[in-house]
Amino acid sequence: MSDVTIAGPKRPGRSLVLTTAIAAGAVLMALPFYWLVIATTYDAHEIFSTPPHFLPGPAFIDNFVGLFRDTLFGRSMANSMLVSTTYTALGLVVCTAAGYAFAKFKFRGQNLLFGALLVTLALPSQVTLVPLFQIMVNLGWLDSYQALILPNLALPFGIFLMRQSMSAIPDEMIQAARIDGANEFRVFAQVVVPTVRPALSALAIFLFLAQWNDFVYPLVVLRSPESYTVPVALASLQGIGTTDYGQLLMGTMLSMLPILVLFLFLQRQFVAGILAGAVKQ
Amino acid sequence: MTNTLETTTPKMGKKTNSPRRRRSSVGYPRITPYLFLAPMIVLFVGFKLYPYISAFWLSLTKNVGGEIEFAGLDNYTRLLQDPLFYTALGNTGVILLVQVPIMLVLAIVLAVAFNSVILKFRGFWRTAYFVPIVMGLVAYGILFRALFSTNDGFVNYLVGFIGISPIPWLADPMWAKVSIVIAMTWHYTGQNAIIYLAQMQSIGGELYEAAHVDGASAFQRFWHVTLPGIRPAMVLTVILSTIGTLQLFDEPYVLTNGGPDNATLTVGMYLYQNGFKYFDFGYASAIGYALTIIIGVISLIQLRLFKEKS
Amino acid sequence: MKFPTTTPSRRSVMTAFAAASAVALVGCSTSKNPATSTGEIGGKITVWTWNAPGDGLKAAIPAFQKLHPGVEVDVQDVGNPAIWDKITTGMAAGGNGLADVLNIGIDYMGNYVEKFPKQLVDLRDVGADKLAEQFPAGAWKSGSGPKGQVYGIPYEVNAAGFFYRNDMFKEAGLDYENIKTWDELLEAGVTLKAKTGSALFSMDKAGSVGDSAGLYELLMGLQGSFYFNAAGEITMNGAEGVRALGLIKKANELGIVDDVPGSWDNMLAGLRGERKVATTASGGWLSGVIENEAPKMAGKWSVSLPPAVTPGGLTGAVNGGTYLSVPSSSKNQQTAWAFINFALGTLEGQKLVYAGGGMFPGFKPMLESEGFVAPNPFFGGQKVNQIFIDELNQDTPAVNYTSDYARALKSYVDAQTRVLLKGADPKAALDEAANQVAQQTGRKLASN
Repeated sequence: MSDVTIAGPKRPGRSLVLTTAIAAGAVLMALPFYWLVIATTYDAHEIFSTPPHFLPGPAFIDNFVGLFRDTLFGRSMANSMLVSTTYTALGLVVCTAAGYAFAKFKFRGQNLLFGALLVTLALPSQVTLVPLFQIMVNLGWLDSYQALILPNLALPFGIFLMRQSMSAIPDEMIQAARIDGANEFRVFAQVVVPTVRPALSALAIFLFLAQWNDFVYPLVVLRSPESYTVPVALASLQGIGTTDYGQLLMGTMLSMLPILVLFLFLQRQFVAGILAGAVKQ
Repeated sequence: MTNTLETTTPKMGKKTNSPRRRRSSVGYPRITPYLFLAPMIVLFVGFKLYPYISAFWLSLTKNVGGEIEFAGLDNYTRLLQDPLFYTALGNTGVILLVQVPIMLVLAIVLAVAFNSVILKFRGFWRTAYFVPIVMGLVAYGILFRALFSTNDGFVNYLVGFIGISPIPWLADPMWAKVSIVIAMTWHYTGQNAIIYLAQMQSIGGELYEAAHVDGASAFQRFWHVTLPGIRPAMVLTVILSTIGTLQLFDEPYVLTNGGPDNATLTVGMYLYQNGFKYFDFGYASAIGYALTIIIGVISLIQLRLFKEKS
Repeated sequence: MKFPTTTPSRRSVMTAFAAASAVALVGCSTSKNPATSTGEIGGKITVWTWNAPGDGLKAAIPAFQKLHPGVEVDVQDVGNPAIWDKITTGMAAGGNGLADVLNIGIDYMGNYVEKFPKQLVDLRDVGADKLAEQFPAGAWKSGSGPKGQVYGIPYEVNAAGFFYRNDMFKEAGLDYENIKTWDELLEAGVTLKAKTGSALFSMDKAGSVGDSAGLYELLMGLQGSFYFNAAGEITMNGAEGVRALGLIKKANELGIVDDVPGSWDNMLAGLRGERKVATTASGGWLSGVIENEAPKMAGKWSVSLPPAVTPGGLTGAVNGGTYLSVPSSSKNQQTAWAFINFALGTLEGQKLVYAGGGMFPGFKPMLESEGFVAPNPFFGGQKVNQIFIDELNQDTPAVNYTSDYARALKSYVDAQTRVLLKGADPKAALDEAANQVAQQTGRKLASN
């Protein structure tokens, strides 16, 4: 819930101060993005000029067309969409289930398992890249969607997040549901999950992002340009002294749009007021 | 484990209204947690077990003239005597100690602001702070390099208005670290703010009411209601930010290449160089596992500290 | 949804775990496409490269298909530097998932050859020996193994490209043709600075881009030296190295070096005249870049042989290059070789490739072909390619990158940063760098 007691007729100035401060920060946060958008409207030769451009230029269409001509960008966006959505949907299930187990149950080996989970987080992914690639080769899964989706479904970050948010659920709520005759899956699906909807929304965004922006692993696993995801497709634009930055930045900007839309949609989910099965009942 | 509210005592014996179910004394079938964990375990065994074992095995080998030979702990001994490794550790440590606290404090402040009813256009600001997380690495690197360019970067352009001469953001050992900290903070603060914000939603409104009735000021309400309420999220973000920073690779890679003169060489960068530039995968794996041990120890300490505080 | 009320037995759960691990760990190698029988040219091959060289190779496909109907060639622009991670991962995984033809840079070749020795086909087995005479000896050698195995055919062979702003020189009352050595060039630089306000050249003093050693490598090449000698010993801190870094330091202290931290786009600004810079040294390929990126500067840039380091010394150096190789894991090696041979080893193929991509070739008949050495209007009618040919024809020694080039490069750049930003002594800095490389690689220092 929001701390609704802050507002009040006595201190109207507070709102202005707060909004201004946040706005200033937001400008800093968004400035590079503004520059990115401007950069997509200039020809590659003009982008890095002194002083930097502030106003849009003429080359938006050229960059747009060029991007789709030199890469299979539309196809890559579709690939990324498919992979990221599937990954997010499945990942939500896996992470929430595992988080629930850690948060609300006591079982043998619990701490050990959770510790092992954290340890898997600790090993840098570059070290496991080659062996994981070998697995994909052996399974014949090179250039496939499942190769991208499956390995990281049980994302330690996601499991940790769900565990933390579920830990705040009072046990009596769960016990009450059991007493009412619900089996364990119903308790999970109808009582526990709706309560952590804010965390679920946050997790959904992070899962989607992690998959969307993943670069090195898709780079080595995907073999044909038709199956490239967006980051891999954009990397193919780079060369020695021959990178078309206008197209590259255009592609980057376009690839950010679906996620920003997703965020705008989902952020209403983790704001007070849209809670079902409120905790305090 | 981390229940903050009291638990009901489990009912012993059979339940009277569901004679068909067999329940253990704790109120649920014993297999239940394992079922919920099953997908995670299957995936782990399928896709993580072999890579971790393989990487560990690799750390015990050397590539001698194209043949992979068993080398025992040679890579680790070499690591312990490697001055560049210590440089990398030092740099990573400095960045960790400076960046993570700043970022998390900012994130809490932001989350409180986003949660506050007196902030106008909340949805818009939240999206603005979210934008940095979304940007892909290559573009982000290009942009920040351009922004931090000594002679024609926008940052120095702005700084010039206050009458300060151009700062060598990426070219000076100290300023390069500062640039990395700034870039990381820009990139990840919004993400942590969202995590805190999500957790704040589950703080009961009546707690704030009660505090208000007791005459608590806004700050006191924050300190005594909000902060404890987001404690689980704080544990999460502290541990994860620490791990992420200890593994830091992205920012040094695109901004400074570990320079100048190794001033921003992180352990993550050093690992990458040894593996993918020098093709010394045995040594790179050893660096990886050494880092894992360090992260494990630090995370353990953090978890202990958090437990004690409750 | 109806949930099961009976719980699965523990045993069946365990069986599921075991099955999953078996699948993942043991792995079933799926049946891949049946291999084309050796000796036949047909089927499909994939080529991994990046945009500009890729354009060249794509241009040769139609003619190749005429020679071998039904063959498919898929040239994929993987991107540079993305391609290195891709190739390296494939090689580290035992040579899996690689294309049939790989475009490998000279700076990576030695390392791939040493660390993954059986993974590139020795092209002598398919008759590459016949081509040896048609390529510059140095370039051919850099793509070969220690026992003369031919692991790659030279695709790009880059001579050093030295470019200067003739308008600035004129304004300062100087004639580049009178400058014979680098010392004289530095003196000219002082005059240039005084009369035109322009720097002599630009450098990434902080080394924030990995590849900031271009000038050092040129100066070393002009003295016939490199980080390593032919025997693989470390020579970066020898007399030549000290002289090279000394020249760089002197230029820095004279205040005629423009600091362009970071990137490519800063260098472009210099090419376009947005930053005042009088000379640029890079590879010969930069001539194409200048034409594309700085069209307004037509006629203002001239190409030339670089000055010598010592009076009467070399005025030409090799700047690098790339190769086309065939991985041993390729299922269609005959076709792969046929394509490489066509694109790089026949005049017909080379003409198409050059017209399509503009990469400076090593194939001698191409270099000697009519029209290759044409006057270039952008450079005021200079016969640009002739200059590069002249460089390659000098007695430039073979450059031994070895498998440790990446380490030597990094150590050198760090040393250079110390010299330029902290005023370190070149000899001391180079000795430190050389010792670091020796310690990391076990190689000997040649000076010992």
